[in-house]
Parts: sequence; C-alpha cells; structure tokens
Amino acid sequence: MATDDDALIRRARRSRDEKQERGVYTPELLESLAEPLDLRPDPSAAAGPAWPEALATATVSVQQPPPSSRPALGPALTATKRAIERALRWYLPPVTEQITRHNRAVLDVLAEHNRQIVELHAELEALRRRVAALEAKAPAGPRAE
Amino acid sequence: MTSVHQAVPVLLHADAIGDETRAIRDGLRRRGLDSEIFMLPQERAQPNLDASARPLAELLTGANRGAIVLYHYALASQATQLLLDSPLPLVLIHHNVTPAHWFHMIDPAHEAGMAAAATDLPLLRDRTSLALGDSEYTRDELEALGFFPTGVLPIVLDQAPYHEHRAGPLHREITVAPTLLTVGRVAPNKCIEDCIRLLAAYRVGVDSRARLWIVGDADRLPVYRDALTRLVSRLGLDDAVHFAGRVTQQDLIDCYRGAIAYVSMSEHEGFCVPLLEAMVCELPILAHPSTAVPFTLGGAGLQVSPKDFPLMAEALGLLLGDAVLLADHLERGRRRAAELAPERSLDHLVDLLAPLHASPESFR
Repeated sequence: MATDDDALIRRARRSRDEKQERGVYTPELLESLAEPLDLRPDPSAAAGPAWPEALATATVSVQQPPPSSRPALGPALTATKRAIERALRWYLPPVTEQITRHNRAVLDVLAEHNRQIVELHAELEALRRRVAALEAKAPAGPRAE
Repeated sequence: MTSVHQAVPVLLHADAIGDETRAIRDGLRRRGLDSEIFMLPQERAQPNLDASARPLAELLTGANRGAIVLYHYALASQATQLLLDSPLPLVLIHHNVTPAHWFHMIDPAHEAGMAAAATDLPLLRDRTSLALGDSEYTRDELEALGFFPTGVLPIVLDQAPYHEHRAGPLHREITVAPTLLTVGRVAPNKCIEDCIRLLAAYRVGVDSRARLWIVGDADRLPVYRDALTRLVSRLGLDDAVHFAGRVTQQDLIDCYRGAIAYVSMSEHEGFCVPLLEAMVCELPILAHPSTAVPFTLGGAGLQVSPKDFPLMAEALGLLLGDAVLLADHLERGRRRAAELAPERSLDHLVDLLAPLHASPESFR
C-alpha cells in the first residue's frame, strides 16, 4: 500500500539525515556519487555511422582490369584494357598516391575535430550538471533555460 | 481454421521479444487457432537464432489471405515495408523504442538505428487495425502518434519455469554475500551507473558486505561499459560489482532466487521484463518510477524518486529489515505477477482480435 511506502520513505529520510549528521554519509561520498559518468567515446562516435566507410575507402589504388567475359571479343578487350593500364602506369600510381595522402590528411583533420567535439560534449555535460545542482540549492527564482 | 500469425524481423532464443512471440504462438494454438511465426532471411549466423520461424516471404503469399498478422515492433527493418505493401490486416505490438539520444556519443550505429525505428513507426499508422503497447506508457505513445484504436497487451511471459526452478550452482555463488541484482542489456538508458552509486551508498549506510550483480549483455556498448568500470574503481567497488554477462535461464532464475533485492534505476522502459521476473521469484524490488516501470509494478515494488542514493539505500535497508513490511511487499508483488499471468494476457489478446476477424465466433 502506498501509505505504508510513504511511511517507510519518511523513516528512511530521518535515518539518512541522522547518518549524515553522524558523518556516515560524508560530504565527500555525496560529492563522489554526484560526479557525472566518465564517458570517453572513441572520436568516431562524433563522426556518425559513415566513419568506418570513410576509413575503409581512404586508400585509392590502381587495380589490374578484370578479364572480360564477353563472347568472342572478350580476350581482345581484356588485352586492350591491360595494355592501356600498362601504358598509364607511369602516370596513374603517383596520382592515386597523392589522392590517398590527401584523403588520409583530411581524415586526420576530421579525427582531431571529432576528438575536440567529444571533449566539448563532456565539458558541456559536466557544466549542465553543475548548473542543475546550483539551481537545486538556490532559493526559488528565475531558472536558466 | 482461423489463422493469427506473427511477424518479427528476427526470432531469437533468450530474448524478451522472442520469448513472448513463442508464448503467444503456443497460447493461440492451445486456443485452437492456426499460428506461425515468420521472420526476415538472416544475413549472418546467430547462435541463438530460433529455426522454428518460417521465411516472411511465405506469409506474404496469397495462401495466408484472411489471416491476422501480429507485427512485433522494436527496431527498424525491411519487415515494415514488406508488411505495409501486403494486403494482410496488421495488428501492431509495439515494444517501444529507446530514444536515440541515449546512445549519442556512445554508439553512432545504435543511435542511427533507434532514430530510424522512431521514424518508421508512424508509417504503420494507417495500415494497422489495432495498435497494442506492452504497457500504458507505450500505448500513450501510440495514441500521441495518431494510432487508433489502441490497447495494452502486457508482455506475455511464461512464468512456469520460474516456479518450477531448482537451485543450481549460481544460486550458491550469489548467496555467499548479500547481493543486489539488476538484469538487462548494459545500456545507458538503464542507468546502471545509478545502481552502482546506490550500492556505494548501501555499503556505507546499511551493509558493508553488500554486492551488486549486473546480469545481461555488456559487450555491445564498450564505451558505456568502460565508463561503468571506471566508476566502479573510482568508488572502490572492484570486489563488490560483478558483470555476469548473458546467462542461461536456469542461471538467471538462480540470480533472482539468491539475491536480496532487485534494483532498477532505468530511465526508459517499454515494459521491463526483469521487474515481472523478480515479482514472480518473490524478490523485493527497489525501482526508480520512470516511463513504464509504474505500470509494470502496479502497486508493487518500492518506488523511490528522485534518485537520492542514501535515501534509497536507507529505504531498502528498512524494508529488508522489517519482516511485516517485507511480507506485505512480496504479497503485492505476487498479486501483480498473477495479474500479468500469461493466460490472462492471451485471453485478453483473443478478445481484442476477435472483432477484427471476418468470423469473430471462430475465436471463442
């Protein structure tokens, strides 16, 4: 019954207050219990679900063209593609290396931004809790939104 | 024969929705109805996959014309669109979706998944003949989204294994010291950190030997679990807090039977099956009355708000130390568990479904 529970809570409140006075529940303990949870997200948490795909596709490389399966023309097409690929070898690999370097640099910049967002988020949460605690202690008056 | 089938994205063993789906199927069959479970094809092997489910594509063929389909909704999946495109009459069983913000900065994939589930839910509004929530809280959410008509179908939990249980090895282990118990996926909405804080206060103010066992999958959200581990160390509770992980039903019942109290500090629940399990096992409960928790507990359990941990610790200590109060508390739990007995819920479900069928008398 709710009334029994209400009476129990009243007794519990008296017991808590008495133990607080006796120094059982110390201010240090109460402060420790009020500390926010120390979440340390991986920076990718701030980057959203596309982050693994961005990491996986950052490295660009030139692959040998796959063989053509077209009947009759297939072997000739495969030979032509491979010839073109060989002919461009002096040019394409340096370009893909440059693109890969650029992609990795961009990802490094993003990772640093993500790390900073995660830190700012944690600081914001801590500040919110401090404001809430201060508001709870303060006499009634205007409240921060 | 009258057919009432169920659709789920995936059917798993040792899973609250999976257990309920099987209990509903078996209960409907006992009432003479034809009932099968259908699920999506699974891309990857899962050790606890229940192979008794049939492919969802089979349900969508013309052979099932006239069947009522109960669609269990808790996450976004292709099943929603497939069912929307089918002409079958749908009854939604909504298990609630954890708000995405709980996973912000913890797991982007979870956050995106929950956001998608919340976005897809209203798509079902105009296609459902009846929308059921597993608690009043969830039903209110459905009403706010414009679903009509709505109703409540409390989680159908087979209570027999909890009554027939014989103590196993984990029972001996958990009874070595006074142990508080919390059960469920280790997820931020469950506020496991507050269970740990409650333990810290309880050890200081009531019983220095007390421990906390956290039973449930702790591997899916490592950022959150690691933060909990740091909190445990900071509060000097390394030897007092035990992450037991997923356990078998036998071991789970051992935990309920061997603990001194069940604690729930959760801030978001659609129903909270562990509360019902704890009541069935006659375990005292201390809970924070958020979301669906007051519905599930009915008048049972000691519900304390706000989260003043020394106050909660004292209240729990007084409850456990007062034989008369404790007996009354456990009796209220037994009564609530009886109200939530599976046969009552199944009868209620059949009553709700009968008017939706072309021949309602076939349900009697």
